[in-house]
Amino acid sequence: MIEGFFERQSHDAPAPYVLGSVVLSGVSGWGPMPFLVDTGASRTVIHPRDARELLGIPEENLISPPPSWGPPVSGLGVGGGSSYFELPGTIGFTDNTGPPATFPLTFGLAPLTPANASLPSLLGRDILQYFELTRNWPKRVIQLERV
Amino acid sequence: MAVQTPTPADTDRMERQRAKIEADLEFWRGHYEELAQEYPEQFISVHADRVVASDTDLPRLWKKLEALGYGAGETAIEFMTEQPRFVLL
Repeated sequence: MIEGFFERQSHDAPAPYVLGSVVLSGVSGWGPMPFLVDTGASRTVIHPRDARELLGIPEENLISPPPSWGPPVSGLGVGGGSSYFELPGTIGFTDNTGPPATFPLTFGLAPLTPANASLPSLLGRDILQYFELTRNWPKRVIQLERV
Repeated sequence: MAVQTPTPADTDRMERQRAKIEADLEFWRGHYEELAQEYPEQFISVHADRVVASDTDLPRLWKKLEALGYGAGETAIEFMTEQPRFVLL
């Protein structure tokens, strides 16, 4: 079982998070990262603040991505389109009932824009499909259980 | 695509980073509202429970931190706002 937590800032509704571990092949070393659990996101996305602060990706690469990252892909959102770079890597989670749960994954890495500078990274359905999600704010419970 | 496995050195480093993240989250839980009043609509950077830099623009904040000698991940950065945020992801 993977245990998450809620964060609630300012006037926001409580937001469910889990702490994962991430490595982007050939781009970053391993780093722990809080992910907002987002059942509306089709894929897991790392946003730029986390990319620099938690994975050590240089700021200049987030502003002018290197050619080795390949062409950006477009994503659709409620607020309009966004572009992402598809980078392979691994995501892992501490499981308190067994060995760590690890998955190979193609991450979306967002280049820095004014609109995404304050956004958390997102745990999308490409990973959530492997879990049963329990979300209970009154009991302060966020759990992911392998199915 | 193969699963990569952290080395023991990676694991040790991540344990330290994880402890820092948890301490940072605890700090924001206890201080977010007062800091949001003091630094509305700004990114702020905190080190040792003290605000060391602030700016409305994240890249400018990173430059300020570099000038102060703080590298990536050495401080905790959060965006402060008292306004309800309608984040639709």
